[in-house]
Amino acid sequence: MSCASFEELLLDYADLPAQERDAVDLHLTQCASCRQYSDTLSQLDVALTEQFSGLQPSELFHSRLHAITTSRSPLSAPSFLPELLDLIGVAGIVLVLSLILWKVVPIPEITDFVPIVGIVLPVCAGLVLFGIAWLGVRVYAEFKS
Amino acid sequence: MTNFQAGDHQEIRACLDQKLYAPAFDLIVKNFSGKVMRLAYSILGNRALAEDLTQDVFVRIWRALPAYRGLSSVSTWIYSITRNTCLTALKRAGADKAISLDEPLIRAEAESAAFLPRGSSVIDLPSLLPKVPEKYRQVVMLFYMEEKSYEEVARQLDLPIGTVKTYLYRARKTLMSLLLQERKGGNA
Repeated sequence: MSCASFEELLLDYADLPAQERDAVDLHLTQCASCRQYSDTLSQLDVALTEQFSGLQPSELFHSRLHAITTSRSPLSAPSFLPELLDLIGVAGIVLVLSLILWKVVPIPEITDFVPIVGIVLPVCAGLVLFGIAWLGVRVYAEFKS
Repeated sequence: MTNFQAGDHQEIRACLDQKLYAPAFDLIVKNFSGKVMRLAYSILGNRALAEDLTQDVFVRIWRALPAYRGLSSVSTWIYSITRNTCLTALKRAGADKAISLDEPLIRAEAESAAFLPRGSSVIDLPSLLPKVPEKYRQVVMLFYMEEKSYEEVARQLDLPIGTVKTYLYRARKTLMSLLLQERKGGNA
């Protein structure tokens, strides 16, 4: 195996199976160039850890956030849009179901089949479209608000 | 660094079910303020901006709490708000040309007193990191910020773990080749 291959294995060292790790360790004892690569990689690892570990918001962040969320400004009040959408959705479904029942009951004669299809199908399609639109608005409200 | 426990998750859900938004929000801030800031920092590359954006994210979360219906886990919901807020800020920054979120910010950030590399003067990360493609840079920064947890990085960036590993591998490979080039140049 070439040194370039060992360098690639070194980049993945933590996730290597034991057998490959042993092969890399053995190669490192014999190859100065790969040893240097491994040392540089360790330095990089230390530098990245030192640079990026322990990042936390400042004390000021918590006090500013507390001030914003406890203020009475309408912007900070919890939104009740979902409840309103629920109400509209439920009211819409009840309305559509009532319309269907009103058109369907009493059960018609078989000769009335075609007109029934003419009424029920568009109503059902409307119900499905309404449901999809309502769900879309709800998902949008949940993920984008 | 705080670890998000299953118990906290259930407590948040229980508070939200009872419409107890304030205690739910307190728990969310306690468990996620660090993670949200680190995710924002990995996307924006600037600590001050990341903290401002983190505040925006939590205000959005506060306002949207009643809209949360548990279709996704609390963490998925919060990270998605964070990513959207950061991406909106990046777009706005690009449109305004007020700030550039590439090299100058990362360089300025690394050079700031609060974030000087400690004992790593042999490696000039501020000059190397901007040369790493953005998606790999995000992953490598977040990986080291989140105590080298592939799972946490995958959750926060909404990427499969395999992709996180691949991006991390490529980021480190790019950094290594830049570093070795730089050292060869220095020795020549």
